[in-house]
Amino acid sequence: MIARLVRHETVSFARSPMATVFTVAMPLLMTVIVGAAVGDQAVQPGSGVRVMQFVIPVMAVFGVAQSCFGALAIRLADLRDRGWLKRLRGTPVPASAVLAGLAGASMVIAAVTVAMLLAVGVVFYDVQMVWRTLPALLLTLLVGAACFTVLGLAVVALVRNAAAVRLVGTGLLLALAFISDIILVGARLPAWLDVVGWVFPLRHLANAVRDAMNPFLTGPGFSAGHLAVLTAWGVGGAAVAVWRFRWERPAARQTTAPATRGPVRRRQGRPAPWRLPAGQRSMR
Amino acid sequence: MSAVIVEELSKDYAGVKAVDHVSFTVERGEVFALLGPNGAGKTTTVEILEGHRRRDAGHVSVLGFDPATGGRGYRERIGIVLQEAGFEEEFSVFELVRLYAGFYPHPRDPDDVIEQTGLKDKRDARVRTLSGGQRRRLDLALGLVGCPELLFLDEPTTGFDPSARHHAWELIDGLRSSGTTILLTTHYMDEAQHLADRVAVLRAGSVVASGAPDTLIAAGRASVLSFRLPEGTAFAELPALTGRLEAHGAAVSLETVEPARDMHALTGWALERGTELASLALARPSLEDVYLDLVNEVTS
Repeated sequence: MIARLVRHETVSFARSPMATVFTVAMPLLMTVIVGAAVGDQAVQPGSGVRVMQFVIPVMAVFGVAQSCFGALAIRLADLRDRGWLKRLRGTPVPASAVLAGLAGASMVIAAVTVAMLLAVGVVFYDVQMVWRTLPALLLTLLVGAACFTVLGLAVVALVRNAAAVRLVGTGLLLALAFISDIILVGARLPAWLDVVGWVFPLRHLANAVRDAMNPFLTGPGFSAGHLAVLTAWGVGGAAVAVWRFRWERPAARQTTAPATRGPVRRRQGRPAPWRLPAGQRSMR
Repeated sequence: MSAVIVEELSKDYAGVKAVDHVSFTVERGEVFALLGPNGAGKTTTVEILEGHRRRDAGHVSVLGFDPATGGRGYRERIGIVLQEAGFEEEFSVFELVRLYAGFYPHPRDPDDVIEQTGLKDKRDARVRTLSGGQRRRLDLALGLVGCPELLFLDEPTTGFDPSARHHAWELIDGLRSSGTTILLTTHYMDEAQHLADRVAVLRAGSVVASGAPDTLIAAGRASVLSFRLPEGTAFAELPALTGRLEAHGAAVSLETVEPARDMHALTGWALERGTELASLALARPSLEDVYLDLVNEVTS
């Protein structure tokens, strides 16, 4: 059942061009832009290690965060808003299978994104795979993906409005990327911003993955500290998700006969773009 | 045993009694309709039976399960057609029906269900290209594909054109003859009169009447006998009639619980006088008349 739902959700993703472009193509596009901007010089003369060795891993992390956190949250909130989740709750499918199907699809998309970025890195930017740390790399990515998946569920549990979830899923993530060593690599942030960056899990995942792919470092490449932070966020997210998650739209928009809801029946469908910044109230 | 037993069911929303000590039963193989104005508690009641909501008080048994705790075993045996629920728009009709078929232990063939619900032409069309009525049929298809013993239909034909509605009625009649128990809510009294073996009328969270439509009609309201007074005849010259007479100019109407007796008296009188009664009609009350009386009693 779960495998069927994972397949179903993955197909659904592949058929939504907006989601595909945002989630899979964005990190790739950013990689190309950064690659063009910094040029792909060797970091140390004669070492053969180039700048992109440190860019590709963080872009992969960004891809993981986008598919497991952003895309998942937006998709889930959308399904809840449309009543599809409620519909599924009326079938024999267990709740866990519905969520596992969505999470599994996100994992598939994340894996595709990471594989694609690594392939592009190896082929076009002379990125060296560090085989010694492969187990660490895979484990770190897996823990990170799980952490962001759970946080995606938690956001949908806390934020009851699909448009607001969309803002959080894309905007917050992008803002976070700036202070998480993903877009501004090695920038000197003000101390407070630096602290903020270290609080959120994205920077830990980015650093852990980058270290795992750093050919200058030795050892198996596990970063216990970063993994611990990711796990803590994951556990916290899981608690929030279990505590607050609802299968239906928020109470103010509950399914009841339209006439009892008020005199004005708003037009159904996509909100106009100018409504989005106005936030939740204008949507009701 | 009855398919559905509801006893003293209550549910509050923020202090407002949405459902207030409601009781009714639905027998196996029966089509049962819950009627009532918006906000009367129909959907809340149905959603409690479906397991979507928890009740505050009362006893509920559906197919021997408590819906609140029935879980998977319960949901394998029911089908639900919600009032308004969206789809995953990027899939085709067939793909969604097939997905749903995979959820149930003994599903029906997706193509059979698609044909039965009149979506054969749209089998491979993406859901986002479907019209409102076609979406409602897809709702029905998803509710049917698990081969349910009990089907919940929350306003199944709202938004249908007349021919689509009659098609849906035929479909529901067909399900009844194959032994499916059906619990439906509707705003259309002709629909309830046509489909339901029994109905319950809800008003402000309480059952105000229940029974077979014909029984409710017989108990609730007089027939109306109407005609035009022949020219040159005074109102006072009419024979003695049992019901209440009302005249609007020459148009006379008579509310009567003994339509045969009054009709006989009136036509006998007319024949005797050698006059004709223009526009003579006997109107049987409809379920709608009875329903309107029931739900409008609130102020009187």
